[in-house]
Amino acid sequence: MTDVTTQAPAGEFEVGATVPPFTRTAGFHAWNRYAAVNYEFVDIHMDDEAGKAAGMPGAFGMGNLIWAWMHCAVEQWVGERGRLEHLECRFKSPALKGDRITITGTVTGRTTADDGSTVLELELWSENQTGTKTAPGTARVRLEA
Amino acid sequence: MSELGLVRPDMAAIVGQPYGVAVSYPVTASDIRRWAIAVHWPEPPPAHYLDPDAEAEGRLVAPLDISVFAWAAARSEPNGREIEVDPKYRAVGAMEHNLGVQPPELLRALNGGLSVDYTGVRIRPGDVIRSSTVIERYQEKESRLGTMLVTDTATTWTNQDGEEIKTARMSLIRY
Repeated sequence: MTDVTTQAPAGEFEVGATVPPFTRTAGFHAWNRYAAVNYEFVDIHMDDEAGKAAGMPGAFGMGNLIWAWMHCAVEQWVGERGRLEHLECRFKSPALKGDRITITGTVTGRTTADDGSTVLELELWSENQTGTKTAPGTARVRLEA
Repeated sequence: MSELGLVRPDMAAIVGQPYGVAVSYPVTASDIRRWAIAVHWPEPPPAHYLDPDAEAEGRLVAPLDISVFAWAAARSEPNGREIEVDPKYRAVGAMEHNLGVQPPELLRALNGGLSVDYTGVRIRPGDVIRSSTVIERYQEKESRLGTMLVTDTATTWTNQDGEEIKTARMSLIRY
């Protein structure tokens, strides 16, 4: 009898599979912590008036933090079973205070490399609570042979 | 001069030449832990980041997206060609002055996106990282905002053993 509890979920890395959502709430608590490690002390991320002067409803989050969360989403999903080789994205609209930002994606391609490892192509993006994609991107993950 | 007139010959001549070379302080376990905690907050980061034995046992590796130059670099290595320019150029991300060339008169900018390739070599406590950047190419585009200059830069990090860690590309749109 097979112990299914030790196996990866069926189809977890197949074409069409979903990258498990990584969700965080945008706002000063997250932005300040990121600013503190990335020395990203910029008025638009710290002050509502500066955000308004830049044409937004108030202070807004860093693209770099969305970028970091995209890495977190892949790490949370793949863990020690593989590694992120490539990531790219465009920042279309920033996160505002209170936004629920979710990083998720889908497996769009799966090939076997010469060394026997499996290479996954992903669509990976950030979306807000309305489902608007705020940072669309793509990624490539190599699973261990 | 280029087709749309934004890329001067002296700009075209600096494509591919390194600038902005910097060397990090040795990365510490605390740098790694704090980065992981900050980007995962309010949930804890994956357990291995907080494992007090991970560093001594050589298992502590930095998150791929860590910046080891954020607060300060241990030193920079000027190429001797840097020129002073008005801060208005730096404000839009101009980089040509790092190679002795006057930046173009384009004072509005957009971030055209980020891209990174990781080699699989990871950053560990004690590593000293060297960063070097080149302009990979200039492209000109017509848009509803007018003629735009797209500058692709590539920044490569290597460790103290000369192993490449990553190449990060940025696309800066000036118009």
